[in-house]
Amino acid sequence: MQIDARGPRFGAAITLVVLLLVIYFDSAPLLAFQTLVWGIGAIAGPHRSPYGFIFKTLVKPRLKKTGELENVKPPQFSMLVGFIFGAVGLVGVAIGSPTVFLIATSFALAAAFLNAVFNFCLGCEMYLLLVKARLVR
Amino acid sequence: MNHWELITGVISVSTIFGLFLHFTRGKMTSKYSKEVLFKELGLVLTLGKKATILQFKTEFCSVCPGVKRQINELIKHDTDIAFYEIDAVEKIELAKKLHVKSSPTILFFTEDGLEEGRIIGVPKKNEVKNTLEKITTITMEKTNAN
Repeated sequence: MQIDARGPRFGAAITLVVLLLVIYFDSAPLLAFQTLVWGIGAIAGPHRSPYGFIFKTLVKPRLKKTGELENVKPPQFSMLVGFIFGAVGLVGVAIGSPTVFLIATSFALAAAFLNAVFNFCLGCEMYLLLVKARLVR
Repeated sequence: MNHWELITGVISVSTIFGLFLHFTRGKMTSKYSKEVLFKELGLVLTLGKKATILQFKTEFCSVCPGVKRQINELIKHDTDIAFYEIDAVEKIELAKKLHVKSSPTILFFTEDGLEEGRIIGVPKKNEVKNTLEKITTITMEKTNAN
């Protein structure tokens, strides 16, 4: 399935802002919300996540140019990676470890920043390295 | 370390990393040149008369289809250049042998099957064209020398 390539990048920009707020306010509920967004995107596809819905209904109709299409699988995989970071951060909260919470959120923040600003998909890049290390597939 | 310092640190490191990628990727590199002969790779693929291009992709590479289109468009009138796309996960041993660490990685082989160089990431403007011209020149020089 093909989706508008600008959608996931828009989602990464919102994610970046949300994660900045998570770290600044030490907010576990906000991280839980973001992890839920990642979870929906990982299962149903980024175009069906809340940020994908905002892009489709509010942003895309206002864009003049037609966007390039991309396969849904790469951004879906990125959302799975984001979900794992978010889940680890929440486990940190559950076990009373602010260090785990902050480290996991910081990694997710770095990935969202690279995606939003440099269009670099860290999750997609990691995939081949993980396969080589026999950690996936 | 307070939270503001943590945010500044993460954004600074990410910016440096992002700029490093921006300025180093997409350019021809000859780091692994002359090491691998195409015929030793065990591929059932035919070498191009002038050059051969191998593009490694993965299922989760969002930019790979665009790079493939770009190369196909560039070589569509030149039947002496062979272009193949290979899934790095399906051919993981080959990817390891060729030191392919990310996708897309585009390898360029001369007409006698020597790796001339590679481009990691989305090629910068004219990078593929310039590389193919370089390989064609090498081929012509060899032909003239013989």
